[in-house]
Amino acid sequence: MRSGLSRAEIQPRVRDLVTRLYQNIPTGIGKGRTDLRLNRQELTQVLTQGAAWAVEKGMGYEEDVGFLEENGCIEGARPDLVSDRAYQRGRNQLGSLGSGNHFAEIQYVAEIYDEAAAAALGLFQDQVTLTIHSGSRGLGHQVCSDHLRVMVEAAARYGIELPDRQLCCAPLQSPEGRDYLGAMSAAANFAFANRQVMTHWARESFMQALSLGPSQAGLTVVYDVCHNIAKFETFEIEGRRRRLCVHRKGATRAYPPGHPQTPEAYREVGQPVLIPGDMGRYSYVLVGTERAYRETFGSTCHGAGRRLSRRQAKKQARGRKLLDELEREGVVVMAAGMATVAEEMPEAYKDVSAVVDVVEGAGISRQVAQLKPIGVIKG
Amino acid sequence: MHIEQIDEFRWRIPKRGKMRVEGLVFASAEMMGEMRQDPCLQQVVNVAHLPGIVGTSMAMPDIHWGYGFPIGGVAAMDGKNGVVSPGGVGYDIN
Repeated sequence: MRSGLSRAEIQPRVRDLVTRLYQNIPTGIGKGRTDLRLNRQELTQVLTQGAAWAVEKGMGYEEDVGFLEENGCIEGARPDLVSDRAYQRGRNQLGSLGSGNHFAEIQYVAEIYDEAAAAALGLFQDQVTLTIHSGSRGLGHQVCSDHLRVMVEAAARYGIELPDRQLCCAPLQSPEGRDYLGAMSAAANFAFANRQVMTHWARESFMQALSLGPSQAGLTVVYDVCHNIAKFETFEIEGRRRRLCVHRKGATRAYPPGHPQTPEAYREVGQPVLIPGDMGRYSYVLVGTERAYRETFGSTCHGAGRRLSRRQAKKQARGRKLLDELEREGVVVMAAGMATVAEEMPEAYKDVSAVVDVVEGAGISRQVAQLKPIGVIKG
Repeated sequence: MHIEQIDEFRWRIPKRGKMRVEGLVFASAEMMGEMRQDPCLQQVVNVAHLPGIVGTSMAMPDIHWGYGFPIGGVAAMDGKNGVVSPGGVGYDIN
């Protein structure tokens, strides 16, 4: 999201802002807010409608959904194929960040590499931005577990030879394949709604901490992308239209300029791609390219990639005051658990700038802006 | 593993055995040096075996080991004859 505020305007209030975010957006492995508990029928609506459900409930603006991948809703979701256990896990977790690498981060635009593209995305130097990184929480995890079990048997039944059991799969046109896609799409819609709810609470946090009205705090959605998904997309390759199921696992869609699914406002520059780095250094805003469309089915990288395992990171963090270290670097961090901060410390990640240099060098994305963190909440 | 450099940021893993398509890895020479020690490149090869895979089995420069498919992997499957795999999405759906 982008704001109308500059870094200097919020600098004295960063701690208040982070505190508000931390109070308003639940973090960690547990439950969401007690004022958002869903019954089965409501959760079914979430799984069917995605982000639009939250907007309909007053959490967000109608124009938000036009800036979400697939408009915040995958068609063909089948809540009836989501298990009771997954429902159970999802009921109390809508509007929660989770743990691990998930975060919400206040940033500022530190560098602009492409003035015209930045202007199209509404970004300017020193502007305050906010990024939310979260997914489908326990519900999605359960959907994956449930269907892995089915797929191991299905692969054998359909005589699919696999070099590794973990690649278990089923034909797209088989009942098992269709069922997984239906349930996975429902989980994806939960993730869209989850981020939409947190978007709303982030806006409220800005208003509360900075004593601003909604239009002044004005957090506008720049874009929302998926990182872990398989979905049908149609490509025009060498004059042929092909409908493909693109698996992107830790990868981001990066559609080129002119693509009909790219919001009209960005049609000339391409679909925005958000690449989080680590909480000490920087993140990037990129746009998709024609070359990505032709070569990688409109896909690019998704982040920094770990350098240290979680265990190694915790070992290296022992005895250190990470929150103080980060604050000296100009980043206020609040987290549910210090173990997560240790696992997620900047040195645990590779330098994301090396990653985006490769995708730009290869021509599958273009760099637009670099964002630096000011305040972070984590699980 | 046999890997050929295509250009500054592209590496090809040629087809062998029952691979249906080639592997294509986006990385700098330095990153490739590190990746060679990592089982994630074997995962790129494994994904290339899946029925209906189109184009190449791809890896982005932030690739690392994941359940079945590498994290940082992209694979497009033919809509009619291809397969879908939960490992190609992972646990953290969306």
